[in-house]
Amino acid sequence: DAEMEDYDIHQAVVAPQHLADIFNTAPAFAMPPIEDLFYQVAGLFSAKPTKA
Amino acid sequence: RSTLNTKALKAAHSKSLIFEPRVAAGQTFAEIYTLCRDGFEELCHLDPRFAYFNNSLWSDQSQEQDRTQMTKDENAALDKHIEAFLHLCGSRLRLMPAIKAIEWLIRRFRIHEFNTAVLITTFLPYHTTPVFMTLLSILPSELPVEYRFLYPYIKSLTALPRAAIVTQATNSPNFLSGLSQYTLESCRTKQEYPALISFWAGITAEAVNRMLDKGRSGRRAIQTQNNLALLQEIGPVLSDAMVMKDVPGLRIASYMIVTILASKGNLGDEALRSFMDQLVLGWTPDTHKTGLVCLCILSQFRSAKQLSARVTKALLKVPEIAATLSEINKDYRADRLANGLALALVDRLSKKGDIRGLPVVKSLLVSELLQKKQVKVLCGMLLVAPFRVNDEVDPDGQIRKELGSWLVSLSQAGGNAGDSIRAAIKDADVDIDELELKLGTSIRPTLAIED
Repeated sequence: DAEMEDYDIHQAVVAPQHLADIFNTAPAFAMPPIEDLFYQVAGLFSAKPTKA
Repeated sequence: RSTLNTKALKAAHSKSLIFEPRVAAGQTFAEIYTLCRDGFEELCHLDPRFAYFNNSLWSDQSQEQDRTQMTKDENAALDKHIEAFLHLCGSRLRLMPAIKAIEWLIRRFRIHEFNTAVLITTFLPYHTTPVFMTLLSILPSELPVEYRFLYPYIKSLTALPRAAIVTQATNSPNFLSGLSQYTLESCRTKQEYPALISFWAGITAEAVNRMLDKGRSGRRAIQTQNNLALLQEIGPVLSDAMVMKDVPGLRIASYMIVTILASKGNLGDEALRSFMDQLVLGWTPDTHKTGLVCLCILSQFRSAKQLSARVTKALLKVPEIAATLSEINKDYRADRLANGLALALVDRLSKKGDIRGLPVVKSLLVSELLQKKQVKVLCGMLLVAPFRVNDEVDPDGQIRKELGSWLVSLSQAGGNAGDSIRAAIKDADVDIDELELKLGTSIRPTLAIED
């Protein structure tokens, strides 16, 4: 069936502590660039790639 | 009574960021002005935009300005200058000139009493520094509602931990919206600085994450209702941030929060689509890569597969989009976005005879980032596309001819991807004889060789 889901949609499960750890490393004025922070957060919430 | 008044005035006059109360109490406005003017002049050297305040907050007459004697309108006008000045000082609060300059506003205009919220918000990204503690110590006993969570820290004079700010942002919509509006305003007026954006992003990200956890309920209807309420609260701020011109940092920060919202919020296709459209509306080359990662994650939670026309158009403008998505797919799942793009391009081909997207479709197909099932569906669609292109959009058959030779070249692709493509073409429920006739080309031999 062409319309069938290729995989199910699962809501992310992320422990709040993991997210806090990203921002707790330093005061705001000594944090890594926002781009790095974004990639770290995206890594927590994105599904991991699967081999095609 | 007059002794009481004098005492109260003296106590008010002794509130200072720099001087001990006893010293401060004995200073005249002329003395304070002279001391603080240094700081202001240094700030003007650092950033010419400060000079704008020379005729208002720093005029000679300012030394005589008593807010309690000024009209409501005069006070309102003064508030505007004060707020703008504080926004501009924000990035420099670890420098003495900025503290000296703010000292003047505290002593002369009593901004800690008249502009409490904006003053605290300006210092909030520096909540770990000693000057923030000093600020807490001079605040009035009655604080704006959203800042009452500071009372225990003021009373005990202990440092304000980040966790307490996150908790307040989670529980008080007023606080989070105040912080968001302050940050957006700084960006709109080009007074933002990296620490402010990181601070806002971090607090908002954690607060949104916690609100989503709090809103979880065994009953689906209640959870959806909670998530919708959160979306209404934070959605407009994110929409503004995602299209903020010339502030790539804020856009990236908003991608971060949208990512969390989409991953846990069960937003539904319409909201996701609107975020995706907004994202590409505001992005520029310096936010393409982060934006693509965000789009990849949003796509994972969308049930509709085909991308919107706006997102499709925007992705076509990204150089080497297929290669870029393959690169992203090493760390984040990109197949769904890639698939959505390919489906949209094939749809454009079928409906409008637009073949400009074919090279991208091919790159996506051979890039090995699509799942086998996705390749199969896509090839099936490609094979029926020639039947859907009609004489109206392709009067001389040129498009169908090009499509034919393109399909032949696709069927000859090498590697694993080539195998999947050939298998998909073979499995497709399409009349090859009719197709060849229609395209004036031969696809069969290529397939036969593989058999």
